[in-house]
Parts: sequence; structure tokens; C-alpha cells
Amino acid sequence: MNAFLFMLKKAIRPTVAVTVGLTCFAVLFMIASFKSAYGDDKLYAACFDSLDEGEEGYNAARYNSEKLSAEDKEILDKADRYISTHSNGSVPPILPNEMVDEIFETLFGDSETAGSSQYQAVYGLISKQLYSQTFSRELIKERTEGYSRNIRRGVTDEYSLKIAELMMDDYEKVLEKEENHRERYDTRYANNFIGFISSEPISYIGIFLLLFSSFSAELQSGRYKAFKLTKTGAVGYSSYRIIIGILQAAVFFSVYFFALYTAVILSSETKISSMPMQYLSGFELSHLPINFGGFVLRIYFMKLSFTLMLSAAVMLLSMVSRRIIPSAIVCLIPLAAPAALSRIDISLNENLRQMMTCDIIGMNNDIGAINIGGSPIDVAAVFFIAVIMIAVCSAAAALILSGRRGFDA
Amino acid sequence: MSVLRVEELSKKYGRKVALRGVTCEFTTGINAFLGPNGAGKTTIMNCISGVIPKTGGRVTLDGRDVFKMSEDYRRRLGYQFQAQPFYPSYTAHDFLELFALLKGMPKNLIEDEIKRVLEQVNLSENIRDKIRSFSGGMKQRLAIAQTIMGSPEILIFDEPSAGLDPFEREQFKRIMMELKSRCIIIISTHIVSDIDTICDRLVVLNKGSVVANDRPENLCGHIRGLIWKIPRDELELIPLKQVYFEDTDAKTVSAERPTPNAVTSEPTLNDLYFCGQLRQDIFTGGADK
Repeated sequence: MNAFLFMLKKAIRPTVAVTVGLTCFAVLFMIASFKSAYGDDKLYAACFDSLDEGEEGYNAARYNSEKLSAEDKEILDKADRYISTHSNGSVPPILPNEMVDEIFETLFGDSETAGSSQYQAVYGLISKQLYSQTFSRELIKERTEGYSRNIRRGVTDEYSLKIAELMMDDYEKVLEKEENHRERYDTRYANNFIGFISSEPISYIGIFLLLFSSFSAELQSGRYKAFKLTKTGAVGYSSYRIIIGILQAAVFFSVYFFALYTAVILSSETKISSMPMQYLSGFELSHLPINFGGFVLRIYFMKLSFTLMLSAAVMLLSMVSRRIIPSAIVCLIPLAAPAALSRIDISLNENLRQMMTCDIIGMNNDIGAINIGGSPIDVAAVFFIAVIMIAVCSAAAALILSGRRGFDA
Repeated sequence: MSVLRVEELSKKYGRKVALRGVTCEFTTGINAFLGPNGAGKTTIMNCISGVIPKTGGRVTLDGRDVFKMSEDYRRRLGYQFQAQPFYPSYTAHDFLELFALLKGMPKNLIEDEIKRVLEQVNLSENIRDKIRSFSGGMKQRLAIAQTIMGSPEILIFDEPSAGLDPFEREQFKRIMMELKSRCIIIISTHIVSDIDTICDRLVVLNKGSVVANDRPENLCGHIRGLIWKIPRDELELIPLKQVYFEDTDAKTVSAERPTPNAVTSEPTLNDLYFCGQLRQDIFTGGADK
């Protein structure tokens, strides 16, 4: 145990360095990318506040967006017509100064009535967000009615009935929850946080930097032989190293994840953590009766378990490859695989694909259940159990391998 | 008194035979493997300690198979590698503390033990220095300190004098003399002066086989009368590959006077070493033939 604590103490410095470095980079990168996509926060807030509550607000945002788009289109069409009627062979005509001014004013002008492209983008964004917040309840009600209809029509498939029952229960809770939320939320940052965290590669880079040489460096330098001959032995040393590696990965990922979440919370002016998760764009029909804060915790545990599985796999490969350079190459495989799989079009069971790629959006935005033995089981629970099992198997394989390389198996 | 016995130990790397049924026995005191590079010294030490798996044979400690003793054997073992691996970013203290903890030493004894072993190898002043700043000799002394830390019963040193200056070599010998009364010490070397005055038992190896195995004085007895000093002007009378040089003398191994003015010489361990390489048959009674 004392040796374990000593090794743990020695692992603190690299863990802190990697965690702080990558977390700062990720937070800055995320916020910078959000800012550049959203433009002026004040303009957004002004437009958002100018809209009425409920469906009227959504309709107004949509109308404004479409109207501004039509105005933009009209002025550009006018310019096109001028060019086609005044062209002289292959030489395009020069637009009259007043038309150029009009185009600039319409597209880039500062007044809302002029229909600048900036306003159009803002209203487009608002209408997209308000859609979820306005119609999530209606969509869920429609779906539960569909389930009721199916039951009344006498659907006999046992699984369909079970899932209908389960979903109706869940949706009832969701509707109850939504009843208490009449507030309107600026969900830009929340939406993009979910998008960012579901596809970001930075946490994988952290795992790679922390763990790829965990065993290969010891094996290549010959230190492993020396550890093997101590009372603790190869298996004892390796088990300490694996536990420390898992802890390093868990600490890194937790700090990384919650730093990003904190940045999102601080950037959002409204209290998004208490809003129903169905208010997120694309999650209108999610059956989870939880708020955004709860949803963030759910994806934290899903991503954390996936990260721990990758960590165990990386350490196993580090032991198998024995030398630093080969292990650096081999360890990239499990880290790059989820991203590669999500981009390659291969025919896979959708649930399997979602789990293999840790697709937290796909696993949570609709009916998140898998048919196991005729019963619908929460996809997150299946995912969690599967990744923990793989992580345990990888760690056990690394330990067995370490024993075979010594005589203390 | 513990007895470490090696019986018919063999080791193959693919088709290459590194050890050919080596049998020998080690008791408390200083035991040395002497042989040229590639003789199998490191391989036999690695097999005895369990660093690498053996192909055949047995290694027992007081009759118990060491490979079945596992933790109990490792607890009693100290091993200094030919090229001891370090963490360059660690201090000498950190490095020794890690090994003390891995060896299972009680935490309250570790500080005193670190100070003791560093003092023994003359590194007390460097206790807080990073290993990356150490010279080759300092690293070698730190490796020796790591090996003797915790006072293991069996100490294995693979080429311990590599990188040590003459003063440090003598100091190493003094440490060995202090420990020999309570430890089985096994030293492998091709430098005869490392062990000439201290070793109690000598195993001469060549090409993976034991050429000679006895107390040094007994082995010297085998070659008494076979070692000849050759005058400089008679060197061309015998093939040069049969000649070896010691200090200012040119010598050869022969049952008969090799040159007209050659004179016999009292055998030393150095002569024993060259006999092992030039005339292995001497130790099996073939010298007179």
C-alpha cells in the first residue's frame, strides 16, 4: 500500500500538467468557437427579449428570420437581374453606386428593419431554439397518443407493449416536469456543449498522453525487470500502475468535463441547469424526466465509463507493445476508433453503433432502450455495464500478461 | 546456512543455446562467475533470479524450488543489473524509497536504511540530487545501494564494477567483505581483479558451460606448473593466440616448457581465467594428455 501511495504521489505532477494544459485549451477553444458562431450576445439578447412568450414568440422569430431572408434574397436577385440585362458579352457590368449601397445596407446594415444578415442569423437561431421549448410538450403528447392508439388497436407484440408502457410512464413524468417550466431559456451554449462534448477529441488526447507509455516505458528501460524482483513483484506493481492509470484518467476527465460545463454555465445568462432537457434542440422527444443538470450528470457518467474503458485498453496495449514508439502508434487505435466508426458508413445495429462510438446524443435523444430478452432496458445502463466489463477485462488481461512476464503469476 | 543450488540449468533463445545444463551450488560467502563476454554469465544470473524463464533444470533454495517460492524468494533477493534502469527525474532518495517500498520494508525503517546504504556507497551528499545529474560511477554505486538495501540474504551483482574507479572498486570489495558472513553473494564479472582477493568460490564459464567450479585455491592447484612466463625475445616461438599478458609478463598455458627459457609461474586467478578460455581440458584432467 505504501508503494502504491508513493507511485500515486509521483503520478500527480504529470496528471496536473496534462489536465490543466488540455482543459484550458479546450475551454478556450470551445468558448471561442461558440462566440464566433453566435456573434453578438447583446444583439441576441435584445432580439430574444423582444419576442412574446409561447408559440407567438416562436412564430415571430421564424417570421422575422424568413422575412429577412426574403429581403436579402430580393436585393440579391435585383442585382442578378441588373447584371444579366446590362452585361456586354463576357464583361459583367459595374453595379450603380446606389444599388451597391442598398445591398450593403440590406445585408450588413445595423438596423433591424433593414434586414441585415446578422439579424437574420440571430432570428434563425432563436426560432430553432424556441421550437424545442414550444413544441416539445405537443410532440410528446402526440407520441403518447400514438402509443395509446396502438394499444387500443390491439397491438399484440409484447416488446412493443412493454416499451409503450414504459415510455408512457416516462413521458407522463416529463410532461409533469415541463408543466412547472413556463420560463424561456437561451439554450445556445447548452446545445453546443452537448454537441462539443459528444464529438471532442481532446479528452482522448489526454488519455493518450497520460497512459500510452505506462508500461512500455518501464519495459523498454528495463525497470520492469527490477520491479519484478521485488517483494511486490510484476503483478503487484502492474496492479498499482493500472489503478493509478485509471485514477489519472478519471481525475483528468472529471476536471476537464466540469471545467467545460462551468464555462458553459457562466457563459449562459439564464439558469439552464434547471430547464427540462427536452428544451435542447434535437432532444424534444427524449423520454428522460430530468433537467439539463441531470442530463449533464448522466452524460458525464457515460463518458467517464467510456474513458475508463479506453484507459484500460490503452494500458493493455502499452504492455503488449513493450516499446515506447510502437505503443504510441498502437494506443492510437482504440482512441481513434470511436471517431473513425462514427464517420464510416458501415451497416451496424444502430444501438451497437451508438455504444461503440459513445454517441451520447443518439443514446439519449429519443427512446433510449434496448430489447434484451424481450424487455426494454435503458441504453445507458447497457452501455455502462458493457464498457465497465470491457475495462475490467482489459485490466485483467494486462495483469495476466504482467504475471507471465515474471514468475510471480 | 542457506544453500542455493542450480541443477542442469539450461536456456535457449530460439535455436541458440545460451546455457548447457549448468550445475553449481552457492553458500554463504562470495561466489563468482568468471567468463568472457557471451559465456552465459548474465543469462544464468537472470535465470537464477527469475528475470527470464529457464528452458530446463532446477534452481532451489534450501531444497525448495525458487520459482514456486515466489514472493518469499523475491523478498530474500537483491539483484543489481548490468545496466541498472533508473528514473532520471528521481532523486537518489526517491529511487531508493520506491524500491524500499516495493521490497515491502516497513515505512518507519526506510529513512534510516536509505541513509545507511547511501553512506556505504559514498553517496550521502547526493541524496537529494536528481539521478540525471549522476556520473556513470555514481549510478553504479546507487544501483549497488538499491541491491543491498533491506539486507537481502541473496545478493546478485552483474558486472558490478563497470564504471567504477579504482577507489570505488576497492570500496565495493569492502562492502562485499562486510556482507559475506551473512549473505549468499553471487558476482558475475570478466574483470578478475574485482574478485581475486575476496571470492570464496569460483565458477568459470565458457560458451554456456561450466568449465571449472571450486574454491580459488583448489582451482589454482589444478594449474600449478602449467603457467609459463615467456621471455620477450622468445614470443615468436609460439602462436600468439596462445599468449596472454599480465602486468609486465607474457604468459602461456602448457603442460611442457613452451620455449627454451620459459619459467613456471605461481598461478593467479587471472591465469585461471585464461586457462578456462585457452585450455578447458585442464580442469577435467586432460592437461597431461
